[in-house]
Amino acid sequence: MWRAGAVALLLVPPGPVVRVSVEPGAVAITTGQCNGVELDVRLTNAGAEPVYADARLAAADVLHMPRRAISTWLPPGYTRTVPVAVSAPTGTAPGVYLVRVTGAGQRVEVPVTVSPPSPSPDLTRSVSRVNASSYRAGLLPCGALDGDADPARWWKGTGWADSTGKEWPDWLQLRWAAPQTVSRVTVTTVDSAEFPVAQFGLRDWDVQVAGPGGWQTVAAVRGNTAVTVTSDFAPRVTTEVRILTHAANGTNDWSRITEVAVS
Amino acid sequence: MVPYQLPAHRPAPDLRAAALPRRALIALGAAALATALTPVSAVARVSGAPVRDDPFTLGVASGDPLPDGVVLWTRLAPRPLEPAGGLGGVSLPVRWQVAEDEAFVRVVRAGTATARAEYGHAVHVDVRGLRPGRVYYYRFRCDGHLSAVGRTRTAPAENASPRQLRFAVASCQSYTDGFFTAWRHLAAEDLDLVFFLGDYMYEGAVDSAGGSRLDSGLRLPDIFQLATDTLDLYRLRYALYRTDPDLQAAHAAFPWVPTWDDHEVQDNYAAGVPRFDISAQDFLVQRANAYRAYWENQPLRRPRQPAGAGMPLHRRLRFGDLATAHVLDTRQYRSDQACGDGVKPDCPERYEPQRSLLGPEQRGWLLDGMNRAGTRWNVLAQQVIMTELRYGIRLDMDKWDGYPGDRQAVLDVAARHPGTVVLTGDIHFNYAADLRVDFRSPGTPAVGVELIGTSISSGGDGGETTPALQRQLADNPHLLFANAQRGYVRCSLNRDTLRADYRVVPYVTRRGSSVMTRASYVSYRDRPGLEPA
Repeated sequence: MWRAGAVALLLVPPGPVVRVSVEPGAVAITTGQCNGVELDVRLTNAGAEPVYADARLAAADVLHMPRRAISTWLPPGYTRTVPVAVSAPTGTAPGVYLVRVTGAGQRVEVPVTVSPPSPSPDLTRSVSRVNASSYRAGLLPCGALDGDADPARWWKGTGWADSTGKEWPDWLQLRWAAPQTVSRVTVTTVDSAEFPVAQFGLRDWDVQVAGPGGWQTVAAVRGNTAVTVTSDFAPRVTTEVRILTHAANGTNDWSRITEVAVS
Repeated sequence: MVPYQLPAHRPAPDLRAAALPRRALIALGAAALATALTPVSAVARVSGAPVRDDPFTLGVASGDPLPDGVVLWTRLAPRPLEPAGGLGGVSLPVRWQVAEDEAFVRVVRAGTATARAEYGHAVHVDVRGLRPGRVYYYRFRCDGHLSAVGRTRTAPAENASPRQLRFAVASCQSYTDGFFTAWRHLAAEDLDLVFFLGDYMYEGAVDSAGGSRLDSGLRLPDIFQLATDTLDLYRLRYALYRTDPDLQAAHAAFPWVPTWDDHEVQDNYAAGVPRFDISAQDFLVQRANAYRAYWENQPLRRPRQPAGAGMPLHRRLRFGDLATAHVLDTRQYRSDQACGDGVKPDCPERYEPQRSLLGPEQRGWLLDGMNRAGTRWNVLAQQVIMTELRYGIRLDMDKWDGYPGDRQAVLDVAARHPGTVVLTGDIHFNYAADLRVDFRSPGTPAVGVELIGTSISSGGDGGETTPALQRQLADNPHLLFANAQRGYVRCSLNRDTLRADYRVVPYVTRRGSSVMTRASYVSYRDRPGLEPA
């Protein structure tokens, strides 16, 4: 098959051997980088022989869906479930948009209803953009803004970690589309049998807000061994808040944050 | 195996469905329903449509030299960081040429191959009919676009008695840990081939600036935040690595003899056992996807091509009567790591007789091949440290230390046949070590030597030494050299001597570091044992 002209012609077997499905069949999200959902795209080999299967993913232009293809080997009877992240940037017009998955001669369309987040004293819900100095697969910046502050679940993708062990400082930065009044930042680090806070928790950090002259430190935490620390400070009007981390309690020296809340 | 593809570029109607009433949407229920489309051909059609942008963004490569031929490789990707390289589901014809001269005046072989969509638009050409021990130049052409020119070299004739074989040993090129400057320097060396001993790519996230490269111009798409587990993601990851100009230069300069280690699939996996908490079946599918992408992206012959979850990678190459290279796979067939993996005190499980690093078939193939080689040297191109390496009372269960039965079998054969050289990667340190049948008897003669090459970039800038390396030198008398910098090992194998130069670069997190020889060792075939050159 490395020579020209040697194109094998295979017969298409009757009926779909690979089945494509998506769950849930319809979703509603609010705008904001971290307010999206994951659609489970499932490719099932219903035939008797292993196959390599492909699916293509498309979304309305306004939606943010980094994944545009799935290719995988499928042994007989096996289903590969691939979580596909979909979000709508802050400012997206409310409406119903489509995600389309095509593959193995089938097409699945999932309507995505987009609306702005409801006003909430918890300003993390209306963050338009979150960034970090670095991150690891499965421990992305949005993990620290997903509303799950259970410090035992950090490792399950509900938190953030930097990818530069023993190199400091690291940072996690939250931005709003419009200025907000902030006076309280709560940081939850990790704590579980596997990752006890005394060994793996965040020890030293600064809470900073963006001002006309650059970042201003409004609170500093040092020598921490608690799981959750709330920093209160005089109200500031800003579009950006940053957690600047300086040290952890030893092991591997990563920055580990399960959740950040701003109000 | 029947790959299923849709025709490329099906016109996409407007994906906004604002007119749909909300109630109707809710009634769609738990799972979206699939609509059947017109059946399509199972094999992508070969397109005659023009390719507008340069499809040779991933460079060219050659590998596995034989006396009469070599494998040529390229992969088409006009937009390398997009699915299918921006080519969609069509396959494309690719012309290739092999010439005796760099200007392609004396073309000796030429043909047309097909870059198939179902193989990620990779091209493998198994060129034969070449003359032994000769330098050749090769290039590809696709729709008016010419690839870079690659230089390669065939192996000496089977019955030749070559005076020398010059090669480099390299491994472990984490993109996010730094630049591939060491490859740029290696490309300027005078070599016959490169042994690449694994960790060609890393499966974890790559941020938009390429990690420690802090390359703000890179602007990688968010898809690189995902750890690789499906074929599309592995393909994209190889494409990212292959866009690196220094790596492209090293591929274009010499034929490579590649093998893999763990990160081409997942950190520290053992055969079908994942390191992390996923089901055995899910992991087997991940491994199949990783192996397929590895095949697509390396200059390997057709017999190496995987069928599902397995891929036969171990193989032998012969260089006249001078050397036989036994290329090993210490991942696919190994027993799970003993004593719970990691660096652990000794435990009884380590000695269980059924445990194997190579698997029974490959072990038999290796021992038999070492016994029968009949060449001056037996070169074992493989992944993990073979020499015993004690960390105080602890041993690293991921290495040959975790599989002492297989190691003893190899060393017993080495004791009967002079000229055993073990080449190793994996560990991101330079070491030089003497191999003994009994490592606890430092007075006994060595039966071979092991050259352990550091990483191209993995581990970041590195340094001259570490406290742990100093401790290892003290705890392990057969360990002669230890160094924590990045680079590669340049070797020359003569009729009676082996010489190894440990080439290092002082930093990798910035571009442009120089290269220097940090240490040089020699060993004599009939009196093995490394000594400073």
